Amino acid sequence: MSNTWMGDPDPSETAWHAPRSLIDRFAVDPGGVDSAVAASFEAHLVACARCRDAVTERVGGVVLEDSWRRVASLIDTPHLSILERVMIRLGVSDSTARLLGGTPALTLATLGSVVTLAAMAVATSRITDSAGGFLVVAPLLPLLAIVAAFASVADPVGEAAVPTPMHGVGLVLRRAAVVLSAVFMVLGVADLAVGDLNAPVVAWLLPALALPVGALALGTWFRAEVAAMTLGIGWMVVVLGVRWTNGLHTDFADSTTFAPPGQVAAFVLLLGAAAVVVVRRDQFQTMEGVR
Amino acid sequence: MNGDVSAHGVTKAFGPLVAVDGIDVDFEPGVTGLLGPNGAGKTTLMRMVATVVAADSGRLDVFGHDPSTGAGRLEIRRQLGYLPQEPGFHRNFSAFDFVDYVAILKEWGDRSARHDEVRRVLTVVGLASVMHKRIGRLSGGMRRRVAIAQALLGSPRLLVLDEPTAGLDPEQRLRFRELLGTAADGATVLLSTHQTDDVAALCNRVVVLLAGRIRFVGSPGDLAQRADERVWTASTRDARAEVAWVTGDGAVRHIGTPPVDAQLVVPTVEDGYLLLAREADVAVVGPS
Amino acid sequence: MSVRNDAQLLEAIADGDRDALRTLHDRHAAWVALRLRRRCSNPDVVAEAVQDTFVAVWTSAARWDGRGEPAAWIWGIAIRRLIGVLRSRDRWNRDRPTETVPESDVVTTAEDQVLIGVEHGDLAGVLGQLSPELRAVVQATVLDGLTTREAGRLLGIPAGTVKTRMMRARTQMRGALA
Repeated sequence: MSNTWMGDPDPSETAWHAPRSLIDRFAVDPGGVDSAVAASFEAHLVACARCRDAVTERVGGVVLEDSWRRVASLIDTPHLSILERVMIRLGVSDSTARLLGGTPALTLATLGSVVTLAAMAVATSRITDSAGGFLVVAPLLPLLAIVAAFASVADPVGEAAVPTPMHGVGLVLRRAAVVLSAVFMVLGVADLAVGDLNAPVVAWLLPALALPVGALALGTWFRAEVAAMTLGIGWMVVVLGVRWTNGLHTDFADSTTFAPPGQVAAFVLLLGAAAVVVVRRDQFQTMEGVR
Repeated sequence: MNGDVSAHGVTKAFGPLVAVDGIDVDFEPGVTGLLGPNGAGKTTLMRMVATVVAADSGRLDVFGHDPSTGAGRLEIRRQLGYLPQEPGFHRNFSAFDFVDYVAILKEWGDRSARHDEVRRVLTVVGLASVMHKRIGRLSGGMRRRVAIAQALLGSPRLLVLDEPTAGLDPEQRLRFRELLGTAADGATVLLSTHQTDDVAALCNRVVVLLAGRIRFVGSPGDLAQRADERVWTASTRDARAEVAWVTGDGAVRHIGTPPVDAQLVVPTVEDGYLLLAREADVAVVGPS
Repeated sequence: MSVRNDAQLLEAIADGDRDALRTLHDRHAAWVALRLRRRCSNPDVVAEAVQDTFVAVWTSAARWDGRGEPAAWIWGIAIRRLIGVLRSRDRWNRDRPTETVPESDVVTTAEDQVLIGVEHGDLAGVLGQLSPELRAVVQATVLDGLTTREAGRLLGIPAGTVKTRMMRARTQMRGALA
């Protein structure tokens, strides 16, 4: 290996070099070398590339190769996001964690905006002393999450991800599940914060499920952003329209939207959208399905 | 006889624009080059073969599987390596992360086997030393090679490479030719290019696509032969020439009608391609 | 490509050059491992410490200040990784009594360096006159550059004992040089 060390010659390098016999003993049985001699040799090694190379040569390439393999196994690993670490802790395999959490789907930015919007909705409800504001805004947040999950399908490797066996409805649904569960956790906490106001505060739950599933269903025809935007606007139109028919003096919380008829409608929509997703699931495999 | 990949009357339109217009073609083991100007339908045809988009009509068959069904797509994808024309690169990913991510999507579940394979393909394209650098910091040619590396994962039986040599410098193009010779041994390779010298150097077969239709199928030699006795050099440009340009040595190369005082020369693949495009009345970006 | 020296390799490693780490590893892993073997007889522990060392070099090459010998810097990481591995194994195997002596991070003085003659090359002569216990302490603190606390962990003795032994060693070494 004497040819591998050809760096700048060290001016301080001594003329002395360890004899063959010492290198042999040090390489074969380091513990057996007399400690005073070894200490001296060790101090010399730090400063002398030539003797280091002699030791390396004596130890041999096989040992070195084995050692490098161990190092490579640790450095050749993706940089894990916080979400990935959490998932791996929970027992999710590293590859699944990467697909679900190593992507921009659930970035802190997305979660941050969801938390901010939820907090604003809660604040509005508390100020107006009515759960109405929260009920109207809450179902829109999962829609936001769906856009993030959809957008990540092509990311982070772009079109190269499309013609792969894992690309399809399974991946889309699992990603959606991850983002939605995070959003629903936020909404759950927010719900507690408005829970002491006029009931029924859980009335946001069915619309909040129906809208993202509806976006997935529409997503088999249109771009995710278009689907989510359409449904978001649709939701606002329905909420405002129903309130208009109820009479403008009514509180949103008392609106028919959040009463049994509205709940049944949301449930029917949820089932219908789920059916569309199942029937058109192959659409998620190609670029036409998921953009 | 049907090849590994065959298309029958395959059509794909985007709104009023018909990108691929009723194509019939077979692709066999070996390297087939798709030659044509931008917008000729090369990318759309490759995307259909690679199950990225579905055909509007007609029938595609890849290794006996039908890419219009979910199950067929899955089987094709398990034997496919695909290089998109414009891969997306996540800014925080390293070259290793990128290829590793695609490997996960390709069902490489076992971590250590997957990482070995990722290292292997990155080494094949000569990126072993920079595999942990963020892609954003790599040069254009290096990024192209990162994208080529992911297509080579698992040594697939079908390689669909959309402009693999775009963005590579001459040295890197040479390397690519070498690696394709070894990495793609025995596989069916479909690559698109508008570099006629790539076709001459790399391909057993060439398919010329012009305005969504196939205009030529044969060997690169056959394509060059089409211009046999129709390529001339002269000292001045002839006004009647169908295609003519000044070459590096100052002579004017004419394709088609012989100019005055002309000398007949041996045609190249490029001559054949230009003549073909001329006959089909399709504007081709001329040689520079 | 010209052969890069260790300092250039560290610079390249800081820039994410994996080949540079490989080269640096191949140059230094062998002697580092052997030197660690003199301080720990368990080959598994040593292999793990060497692995950790080069992973640490990979992630923190940017922190190398560019001064001094890269080999010394690598050794400084290696000996501390060895202590780290020993400690983490220790935690699972048996509970050590917690050290009651107040710990201090006092490192060896410049005088110590002179005393044992690192710069004069008569190290073996001076060290040879010390008892094995004192020699181990001198080796850990002066040669390996550990703090008294780290030396205590490596040798399995309280930090206070490291200090008292170091004082005794100093007295003897002064005598030897006088």
